[in-house]
Amino acid sequence: MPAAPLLRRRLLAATGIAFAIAVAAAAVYVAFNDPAGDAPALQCPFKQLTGYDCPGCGAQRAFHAMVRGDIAAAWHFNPALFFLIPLALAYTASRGRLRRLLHTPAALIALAAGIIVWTVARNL
Amino acid sequence: MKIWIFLNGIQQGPYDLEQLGQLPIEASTPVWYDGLEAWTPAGAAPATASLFALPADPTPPPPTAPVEPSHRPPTYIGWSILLTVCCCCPAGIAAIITGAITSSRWNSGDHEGALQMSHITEWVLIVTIVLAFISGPFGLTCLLPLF
Repeated sequence: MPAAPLLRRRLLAATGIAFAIAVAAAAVYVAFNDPAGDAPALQCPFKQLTGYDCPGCGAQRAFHAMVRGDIAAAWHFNPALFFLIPLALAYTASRGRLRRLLHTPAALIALAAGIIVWTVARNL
Repeated sequence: MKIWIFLNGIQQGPYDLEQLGQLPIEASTPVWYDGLEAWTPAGAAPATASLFALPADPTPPPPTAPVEPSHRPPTYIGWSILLTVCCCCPAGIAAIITGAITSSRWNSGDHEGALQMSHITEWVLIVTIVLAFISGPFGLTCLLPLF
């Protein structure tokens, strides 16, 4: 029986670290290459499959604009990131009362609902 | 048997041996009962020495009892948000919802269920990241004709 939890923990650690490295590498790449330009860019699988924008679509263009200091363009490509990225950091780093407040079921349902509403709204 | 003890600077008793086992006495606590010539350390007196040979609590909880998690199991919401915006939004939202269920179960006292749901969240994250790594390069291959 202890094999399954150990496998899960190791897989989670391995995939989590690999994902973090991939995101960091992609961020460095996107910082120097305009995703809207000629350089090859990562495609969103959701957009490829469905043709609709996912809640994160525009993140690469927004990050590229942000690195160049063009906050207005970054907001134009994906305004939700201005809330979701700080929120992700808050969920990871917060402690104590703020952490409990963020983790109330109502707050989490509101978060999921907010992302769904944003996704629907941006595709209308 | 009636046993007197000298505890916290006060003579107390009489107690029987069973009651004595419940008291915070140590091997050095002076005891006296009929038959001893003087106050004797409890660990050295024949009638009370047995108290210190055994564990203080003769009936520990059985080791097979289910271990209740003492901390709120992780909900991985930060990771779920990152996955939602970075690669796969349906799976990321699913992970946020399993995180919400984890939190809700923990708040309602269902600690075992919260731990199970936390494990489900972990599997959702693992599968999502693996799928992202498969679909990412696959997405890139669509660009190969450009070269």
